[in-house]
Amino acid sequence: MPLDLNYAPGAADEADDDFIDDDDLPGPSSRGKKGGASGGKGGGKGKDPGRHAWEAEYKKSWDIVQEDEKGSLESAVESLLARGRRKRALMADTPLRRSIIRHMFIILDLSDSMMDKDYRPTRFEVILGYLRTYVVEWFDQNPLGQIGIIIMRDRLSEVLVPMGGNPQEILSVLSDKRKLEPSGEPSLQNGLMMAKGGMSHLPTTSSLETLIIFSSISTADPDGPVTIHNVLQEMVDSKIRTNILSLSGEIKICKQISERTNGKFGVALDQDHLKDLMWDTIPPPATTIAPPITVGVRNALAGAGAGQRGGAVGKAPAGDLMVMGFPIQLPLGGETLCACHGLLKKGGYLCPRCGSKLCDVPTDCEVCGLMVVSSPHLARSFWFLFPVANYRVLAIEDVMDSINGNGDTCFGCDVEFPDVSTIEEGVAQVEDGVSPTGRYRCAKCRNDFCADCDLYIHDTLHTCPGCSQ
Amino acid sequence: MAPPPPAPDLSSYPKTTPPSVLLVIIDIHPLSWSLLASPPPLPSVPDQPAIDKAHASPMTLPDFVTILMVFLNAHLASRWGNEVVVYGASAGRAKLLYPPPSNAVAGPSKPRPNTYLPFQLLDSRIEQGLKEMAAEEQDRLANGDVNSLNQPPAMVSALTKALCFINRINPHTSASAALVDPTAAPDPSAPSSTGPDRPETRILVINATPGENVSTSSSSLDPSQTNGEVDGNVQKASGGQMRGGYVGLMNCVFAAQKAKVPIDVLSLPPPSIDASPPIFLQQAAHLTEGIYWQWNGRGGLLQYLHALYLPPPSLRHHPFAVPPQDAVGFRAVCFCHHKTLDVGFVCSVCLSIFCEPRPVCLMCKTRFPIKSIPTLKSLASYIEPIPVPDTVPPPPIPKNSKSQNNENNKKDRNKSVVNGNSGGGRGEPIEID
Repeated sequence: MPLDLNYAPGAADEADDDFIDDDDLPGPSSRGKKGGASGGKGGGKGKDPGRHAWEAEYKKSWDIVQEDEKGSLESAVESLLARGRRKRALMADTPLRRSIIRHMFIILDLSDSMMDKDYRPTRFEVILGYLRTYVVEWFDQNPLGQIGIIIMRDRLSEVLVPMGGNPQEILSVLSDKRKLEPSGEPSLQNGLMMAKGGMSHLPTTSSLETLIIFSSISTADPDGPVTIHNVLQEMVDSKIRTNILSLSGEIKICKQISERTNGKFGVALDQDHLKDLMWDTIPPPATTIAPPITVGVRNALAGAGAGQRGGAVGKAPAGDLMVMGFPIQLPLGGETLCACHGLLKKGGYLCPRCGSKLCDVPTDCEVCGLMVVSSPHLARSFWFLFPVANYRVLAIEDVMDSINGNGDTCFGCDVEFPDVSTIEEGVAQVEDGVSPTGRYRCAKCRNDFCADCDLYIHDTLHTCPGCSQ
Repeated sequence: MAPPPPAPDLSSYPKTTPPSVLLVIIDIHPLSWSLLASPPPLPSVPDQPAIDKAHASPMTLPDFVTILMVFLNAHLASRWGNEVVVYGASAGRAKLLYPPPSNAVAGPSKPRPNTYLPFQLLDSRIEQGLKEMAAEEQDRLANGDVNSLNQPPAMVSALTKALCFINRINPHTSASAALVDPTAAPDPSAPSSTGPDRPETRILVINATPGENVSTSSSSLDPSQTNGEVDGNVQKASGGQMRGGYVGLMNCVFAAQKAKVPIDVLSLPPPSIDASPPIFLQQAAHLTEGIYWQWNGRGGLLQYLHALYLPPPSLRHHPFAVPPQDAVGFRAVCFCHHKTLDVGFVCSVCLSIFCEPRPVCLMCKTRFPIKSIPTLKSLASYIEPIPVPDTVPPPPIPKNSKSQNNENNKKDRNKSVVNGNSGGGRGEPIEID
């Protein structure tokens, strides 16, 4: 029924290719086969052309990990680390333009198929568990963003959590499993309509996104003049980026939706891959060739007027300056009246322009209209702007050459490096991005770091101890 | 914080605490310490005779190190398994002072029979490290490298080193967590995920440099970094300084938040030297739930250190009490001139902060609409900082309360509301100036 195999993709796809320009979006979406490749297997699966994925031998994930001759797993762990290192090398030249103010609806398929047991214990449990960490991580990286959750079941869609910026609220709803009991069939069309409706009032300076976690292999859409293709067109028109994650297989309409809206489509191969695919959507997306129409809705709030530029302006600038105030947080002293609710409350923030007390930030000041944000909110995204230089793997001869220049200890954690002279010749070559000498050198400040610090500095700290002094 | 009940419920107190690792970052910037050694006279506080009686006490680095060693020894002595790590942050460089690298561990030449050996090791090694750093400073001065002496202390570098160290001894926070299945991770109902033998870590920053020392001083020192050069290659020209300053500190704060490491800050320059507190260190302490405290320049440092900073984080709020924290200014630093801002202009694309309207974003090269610049300029002209209220509740004083309240009301309109009685609720033992 709903897969709509008769929908003619060829002409439409060609016509839309100018809009779809996601070459800078790495991901499982198999962009290699445009146009007529309507068959084909899902992203990254079809490596063996003669056989289908399900005909291949099942690969157990624990078979991939090989012990080395000493029976330790160290080499396996190191290759895992090296994989992250290579991925980071790809990340290094990411564009600076990223949409930082994001609004995202997570559309969750709660059909019967969520109770399938191919993920242990069930898909439902696995997804809920991932979603909880996902939300926390998402807000960590997108502190100015907002998330809402829509669920699809019994052919209906329902807003579970309205768009909001409080991860605790979302987590508390997600922890209540009784309200989330899967049943019936999903309706993709209803879910998309709901998401589109929920985002119609939002400022277009922000990036509008949906993340659909689709477990079923079909969608049961309402009968009527409006089909899912109309909805898709509306999504394209309102520039809502739609990422779809399928748990079961590649579905034509899903792939089409995500490709036309500039999103990613991925089929999860196993739990780890599912997590990778979900986590891929956490960093702010790069703004592409066709940026969302940006008009200063939010800075019009701060600017008090100058709001005559409507959404009708076709060639809007890609960005604008916003006036923001950085407040003073009051200690939890006595109670004072707040300007936003008129209630007696402890603590709060003082607007730096007019001095009125606000309950919470980020918000617009009730009195003078200034956008009041706390500077740590902004600062969370600064590591995109000042990325840490990649560390170069040092081979033995490099260390030999420069042994006098740097000390014997890691510049970060002051752990001692292994002595160069004791390293065997056999392992001396640089392999898979793992340094035989255990040293990694910052290209800018030319200090050496150990593998742990390299990982920590690039993944968490985002500040090089050497460059910062 | 509820006031301590008259009969404390002993069952709610933790039976035992994990061993704790204290990472101390001590600012040994020579210029700052010369200021501290000869402070200007303190203003008298007639309405608080107890404070007024304490004399202004100059603080030299040797005096302070003596005090610090007593404190560190007390930390070592308070529980078996406690450890100390000391970093020194001087002008533009940071260095690990203690523990020494294992190949250099020779121990003191002659163990004194009347001293607990770890105390002696710690003391001698810190002394030795400080002397080495001081000698390096002297070399720099002798080489005529005056400009580098004017750099702010490398707090951020020391903080990153400390966090790397914590990551090494407590590696669960970062990369390894990514390999662990997250479905198992979120379990808020089990707060004791830190087992009894996983050490608690905390960072104590001892700041001696007056002013908002983190990044603001760079622009005044290096005129080439200002307007002309920034537009082309802002990352190259001032990127290092920016990263080493505000952005770097903020990154450290977020990493510490993730690792649940409180950053305690003791700021030594009394208000008579420096009216404005080091707001970014204050922010760091606030965001990581550490303790921020500014010395009032009247001695008693050893007592302050013991009373405020000795209890490990797990005991801080429950049997003990933390001093009430002052209002925190969440100000930011602009990317163009390194000014501290109350109100700034923020690029909607990359969220860089600027202190004045400009046509093109320096960071992401986004062109802003020309039309809006006059509006923004007119807005900018309205911006003038509002006075920060002095919001710490005054200590409860039984006598003369009327006159004191009047005094405070004059200072600030908000104060009368805030100073109600909250301070008493915390039962704070220390008087705040």
